[in-house]
Amino acid sequence: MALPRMAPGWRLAARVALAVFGGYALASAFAMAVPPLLPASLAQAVLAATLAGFVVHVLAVLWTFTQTDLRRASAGLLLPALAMAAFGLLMRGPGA
Amino acid sequence: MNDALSAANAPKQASGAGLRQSMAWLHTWCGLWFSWLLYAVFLTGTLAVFEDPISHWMTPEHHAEEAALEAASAAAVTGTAGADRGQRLARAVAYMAQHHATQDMWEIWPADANGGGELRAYWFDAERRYVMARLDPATGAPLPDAAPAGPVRGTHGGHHFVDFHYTLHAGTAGLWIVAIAAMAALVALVSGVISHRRIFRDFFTFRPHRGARSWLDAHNAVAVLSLPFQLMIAYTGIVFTATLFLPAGVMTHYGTDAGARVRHAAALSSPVPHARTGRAMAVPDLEPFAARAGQLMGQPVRAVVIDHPGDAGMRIGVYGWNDAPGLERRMSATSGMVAFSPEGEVLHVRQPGGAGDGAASFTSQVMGNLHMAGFGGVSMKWLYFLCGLAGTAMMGTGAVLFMVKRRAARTDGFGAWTPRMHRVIEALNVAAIAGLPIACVAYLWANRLLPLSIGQRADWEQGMFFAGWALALLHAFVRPPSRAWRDQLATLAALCLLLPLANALTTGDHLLAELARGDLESVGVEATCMVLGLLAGIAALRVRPRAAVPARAASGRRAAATLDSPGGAS
Amino acid sequence: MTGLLPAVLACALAYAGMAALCFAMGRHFEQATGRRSVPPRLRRALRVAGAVLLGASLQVSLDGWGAGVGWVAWLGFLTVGALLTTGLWAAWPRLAAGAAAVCAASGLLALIPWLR
Repeated sequence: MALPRMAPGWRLAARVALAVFGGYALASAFAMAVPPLLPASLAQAVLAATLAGFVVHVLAVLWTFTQTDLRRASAGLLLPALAMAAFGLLMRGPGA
Repeated sequence: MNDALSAANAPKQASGAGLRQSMAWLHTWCGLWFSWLLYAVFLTGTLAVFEDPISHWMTPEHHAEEAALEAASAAAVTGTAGADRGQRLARAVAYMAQHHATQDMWEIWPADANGGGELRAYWFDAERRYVMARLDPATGAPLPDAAPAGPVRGTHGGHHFVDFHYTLHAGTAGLWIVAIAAMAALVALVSGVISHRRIFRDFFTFRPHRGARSWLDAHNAVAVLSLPFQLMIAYTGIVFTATLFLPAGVMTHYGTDAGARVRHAAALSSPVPHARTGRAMAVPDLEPFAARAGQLMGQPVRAVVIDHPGDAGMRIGVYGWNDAPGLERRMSATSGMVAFSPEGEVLHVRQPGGAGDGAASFTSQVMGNLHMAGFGGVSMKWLYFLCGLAGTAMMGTGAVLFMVKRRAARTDGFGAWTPRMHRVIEALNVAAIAGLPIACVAYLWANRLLPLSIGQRADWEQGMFFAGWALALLHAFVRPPSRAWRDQLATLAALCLLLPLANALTTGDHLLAELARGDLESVGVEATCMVLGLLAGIAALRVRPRAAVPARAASGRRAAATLDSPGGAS
Repeated sequence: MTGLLPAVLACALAYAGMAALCFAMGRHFEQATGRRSVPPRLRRALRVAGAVLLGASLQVSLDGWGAGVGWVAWLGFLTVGALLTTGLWAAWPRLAAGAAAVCAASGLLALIPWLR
């Protein structure tokens, strides 16, 4: 805890923003990374991953609100999101 | 808000109580801020289940016409299908080749499911609009649009409720707002279940006349008992336009340009890619394709779609007509489809309601159908209507419960702003919970009272819906809360109960006449309206007048005290 | 068209089943009978009866609408049955129990020609 703690109101706002936008980032990254891994045509796989992405978002929101430490929560959402997004971009076919 | 803040900010780690506390916080606030919007979405969605009967009731001038159409289709001889389908297809192809040869997609609807009816051709015009020409089945010459006969009651009918339900009449912006609200509903549902201490012990529990405890019981009962429906309806509502709300997957794998979603959608239903080859090739005789497709999918032919007509890379897709008994027992409402190469090779077959397009497409089609109650027939619509009302009640009781608990516990959740915020929440509760139904019935009243001759009549009706709602909102802020509740519930009851009278006075139609001629759709609309009016009337009588409010608050305080203790009241 | 009969039958059976499960719970048993605790054997019998009735409701639903739609419809019937139970039990517990018995008896009787 090197940084000074934020005021409760700001901490709450940050948490809500993290849940909404961090969760959306995680869901987006999920929809990017998972299609190449599924044993289906690309179109079907993209649709499947997108449909599941909304579940990821809901779970991410709930998880964010169970975490005590905001920085840990941010890392828990954003690092996997970055990794998955990078993987999805690498696995992109020649058509896109 | 300090107690609330601490619950949200510092949940005790890895402890059940801490988890429950943070989920309860999330449920309360996420629920509160979205409850009014979700109430409106749920109520109009519940009415949208009966879009067709409402439209039917709102267009009394068309009743004779509808009955004649129904009789005609019932009287049509089956078994003539295919007799002149080949000629109809050929005439439509000739028309398209002569007038719209350069269009990249020709869609021909040769006949109705019995082989008769209209011959129609569709294509996208220069502005990418989907347009249609009606052709004479005997000659292939385009038919002029039939002039509407008699005075027409301009109305959006039941579609007003559908449109409000998913776009709030605000186009794409509304679509997004409703989708965000649906996500909030999912979060509130799951966090509500996690924070609920005794789901199974309280499963059937409703204790009336006990203030906040009764509201909590009611909220829990309608939510828990209809939970599968609520989770399903919120999730399937979002995934309708999944790739619009969550485009990252499509953008990564299909590109970021405007056409990416269209390419993805096309690839979903046709695994075999088909592009123009540049070699010219005449559109073949379509009847053999239609006949073969009819055999393969076991449905009469509804439409023949030709992509890239006149090119050797063209593809011919044949779609089937769904029949009502089949739709009732199928999870997916997609019809059969067979895709051919121009040489007649079968490229792709999808059985009616089948998973031939792929598991994800099938799942998405099933979810769309689940959301819209496209299966199961009339009894399923009633189940959806009842479960939808339960969802509406869940939002309403939740919003009321918030205020009842705060009033009872005299918490200052908003600091210095507490009295003002409570006044605003209370007024919004009245305007949303009692005001929106008033607006919905006002829409039906406007349908009967507005003169038939005014211009933009349909929009006027819709205007009356919003005017009714605005008046309710104003009234809720002007009158003290308990008065506002009583006034608006009484107004709602009167409007609902008197609707059949308004109908009788303006069109001369009434429940007995409707029953006598077997017009169950009209009977259903008016009878349901009267039942809801009766319930509103009972509710109006049970709102205690102003003098009794402290008593209610006191009993509520007792209930709230037990409510917040760890073990609950029991 | 799938008739009204399977819907009414499935709904009645779901209500009867939910009411039996409700009756087996101490709090609700007391509401209907005035007695504090449910005799253990009665409790077990009620739970079995409830499960059987809900199963019968599922059978009617699957028979009426097929394997996919039937399950969805059954969840709807369960909801309606449970809401009816909760509402009726709060207002008139004895009447609710009596109605459930009538629903169970007539529902199971109606099921005999149904199964054939």
